[in-house]
Amino acid sequence: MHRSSSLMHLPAWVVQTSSIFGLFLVWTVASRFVAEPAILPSPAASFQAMADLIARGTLTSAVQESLITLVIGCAICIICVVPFALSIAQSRQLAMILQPMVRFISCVPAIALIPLFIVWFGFSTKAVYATLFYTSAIPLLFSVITGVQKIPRVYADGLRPLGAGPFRIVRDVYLPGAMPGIEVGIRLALSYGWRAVIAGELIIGSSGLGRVLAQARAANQVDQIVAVMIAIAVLFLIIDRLILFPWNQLISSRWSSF
Amino acid sequence: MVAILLLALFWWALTNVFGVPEYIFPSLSSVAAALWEALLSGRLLDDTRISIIRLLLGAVVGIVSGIALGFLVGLSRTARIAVEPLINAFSGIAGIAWIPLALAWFGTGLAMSTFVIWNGMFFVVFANTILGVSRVPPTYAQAIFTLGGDRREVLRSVILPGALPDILTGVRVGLAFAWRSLIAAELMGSPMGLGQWVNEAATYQRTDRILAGCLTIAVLGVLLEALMVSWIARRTVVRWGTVAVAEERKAR
Amino acid sequence: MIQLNERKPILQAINLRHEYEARGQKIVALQDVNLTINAGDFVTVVGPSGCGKSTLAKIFAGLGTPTSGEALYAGKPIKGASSERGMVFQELAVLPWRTVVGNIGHGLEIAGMPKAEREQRVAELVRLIGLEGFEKKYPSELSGGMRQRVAVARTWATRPPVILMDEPFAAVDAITRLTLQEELIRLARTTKQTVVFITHSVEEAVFLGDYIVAMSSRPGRVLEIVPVPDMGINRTWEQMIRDPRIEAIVSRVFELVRGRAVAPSTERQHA
Repeated sequence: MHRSSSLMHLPAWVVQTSSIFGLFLVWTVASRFVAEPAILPSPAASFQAMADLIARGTLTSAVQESLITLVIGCAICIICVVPFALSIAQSRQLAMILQPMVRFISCVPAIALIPLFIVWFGFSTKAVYATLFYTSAIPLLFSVITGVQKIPRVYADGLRPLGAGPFRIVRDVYLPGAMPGIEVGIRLALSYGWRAVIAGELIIGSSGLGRVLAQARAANQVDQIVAVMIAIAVLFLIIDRLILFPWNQLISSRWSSF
Repeated sequence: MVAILLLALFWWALTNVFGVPEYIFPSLSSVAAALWEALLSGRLLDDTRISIIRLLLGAVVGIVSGIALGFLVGLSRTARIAVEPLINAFSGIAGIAWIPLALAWFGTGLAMSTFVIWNGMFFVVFANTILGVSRVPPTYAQAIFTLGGDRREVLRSVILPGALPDILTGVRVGLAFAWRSLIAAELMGSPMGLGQWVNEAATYQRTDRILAGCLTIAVLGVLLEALMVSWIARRTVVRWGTVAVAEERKAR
Repeated sequence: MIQLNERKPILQAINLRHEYEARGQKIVALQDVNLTINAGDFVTVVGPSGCGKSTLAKIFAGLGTPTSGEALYAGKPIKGASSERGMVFQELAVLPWRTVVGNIGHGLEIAGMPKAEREQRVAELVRLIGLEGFEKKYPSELSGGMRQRVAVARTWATRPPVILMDEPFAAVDAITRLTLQEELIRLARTTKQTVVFITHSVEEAVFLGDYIVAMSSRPGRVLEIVPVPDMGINRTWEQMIRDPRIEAIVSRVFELVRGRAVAPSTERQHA
């Protein structure tokens, strides 16, 4: 009884480190068992492939390309979508007409549109940007609109008798009030966007990690495929944790009433 | 409904009033013609049937394994903490990034598409099931214990229905991921299927066929969700009031 | 040990102590709690928040284990929850996915009662709590007061020897609460049910209880057990607030739970 309860309260990092360790253990054993590097390379072989790709500069430049695409694409997306969303959220009627329209468009998965983007922009990074924009804009738009609509009406109503004009109300109520919605939207835009960038690059083959993945596939280099997948997952975790997590904390601790 | 009409109007205006050329963005009528032609030739039905079979197979495996493992893990706090980094890591590469590896492992057959679809939806169903199981109010279970219920009774009458709203959310999102993964898998190598149809259209620069394919994919996606999730939701969580009706509508 | 009366003890607390940790600090919820509750009594436990009265109820229900000391049911140590000690919770613990009859009959279903008999017993209870016409409704379609009636009926349905009620009416609006309290007395008296009723409202404690267990806060200790004169099965609030004996008891309990002597004149306004 006592032993099992002390086991229950192992610190989270111990449990989590051992589960990641366990994953590698299973992988090692499985690769020994399969004994066919062309199907399941061992962790060691995969990390060796990763080291080779880094040494050749392929992986580092691909990571750079993909991240730049993600950051620039998301920035364009935020600059276009956030002001648009803030302005249509002011009018309930406009939001009511536009939301279902966008929702219907969003039923078409970005992947299915990639061929169209290829026809428009050729096999270029532009087509990847289009894929990213299409994927990220929709969740961002919805999050911001929802964020604005969640702001209690009394906040604005309370300022008006003090003589606040529309500009001041947007600045003092809607912008800070919509921050949690904007934050959620950017989070979604980045995490959906990352997958869109990889998928776009993979199918279009223009640049970045997706292209390396496609090349590794064409050359049937499974160890390289796995190496790139690890890189994609690690970068995703870094984006999610280091960039978005502290910001999230900052916003929610300052304006904890949300 | 109004939205769809407005959208159609906007589309019509794009090609007929603003004069966007057909090869860039085909008009409504030429897309309709492409759809009609594909329907007559039988190609549309064949591709749709193949895509649906692939999707259903992968989705069933994904849903069943996601819910079952989610329950096992969700009931233990330690297990929940342990799988958290694994879910995070795998959800970052779920679905499409696995296609090259899946092609190496399984070739281009049904096993490949099943694996890719399973991979696309498993983690989101799994994670949502864990979430659902872990946030059923503990008072519900305590109340059943004081009525003389055992753990099995709590599992059956408290945890399972209590976790259902989150499970359905997971299945809903998972189906969308699955559908995307399937289209990607077909684009990248599976013979036949709607993704392959769009892919072939792209090689001939037939934008009307691309859009016709996209429309079919969208409509099928909506229908699948309506059949598999909304139908269940209306009879359970919406009826019980454990999910706000507005929320359910929004999720659709 | 404080003896309530000479009848058969059904619940006993012997030197109960319960502590827990919150933000690295050890908090003593219960200390030296000795209490005997006899079969057939309606006992109310009143005290400020943080006096451990809910913890006491959970320990009696078998949903919590004391750090030290013993809790006995019918002379035997309590180990885990059982259908012998039903509990009504403050939070709405009726299951949202079961209808009114589904919830009320749940305990009987678990006990394996045949369907026909079960339906009859449930119908009887539905009538008793005045929810005819709502049998097939889900909790989300009911008002807070109705939901809590269902929670009470669900616990009553299996006729457990002891019913523990942990602030069951705290989330109900004030006017509905008065009605629910009057109904509860009639139900408890008709079925001669042993009830342990936890509350932070002194008036509620005095209105409902045959005995009031007044508790202090941090650490939770039993201060005094105050007997209440029997006001009959059909007591109403109007009748209670006019009775000078009740007034005196309310004042006394207020003094106890606030830990100081308060001039009775200021306390009258509360009652």
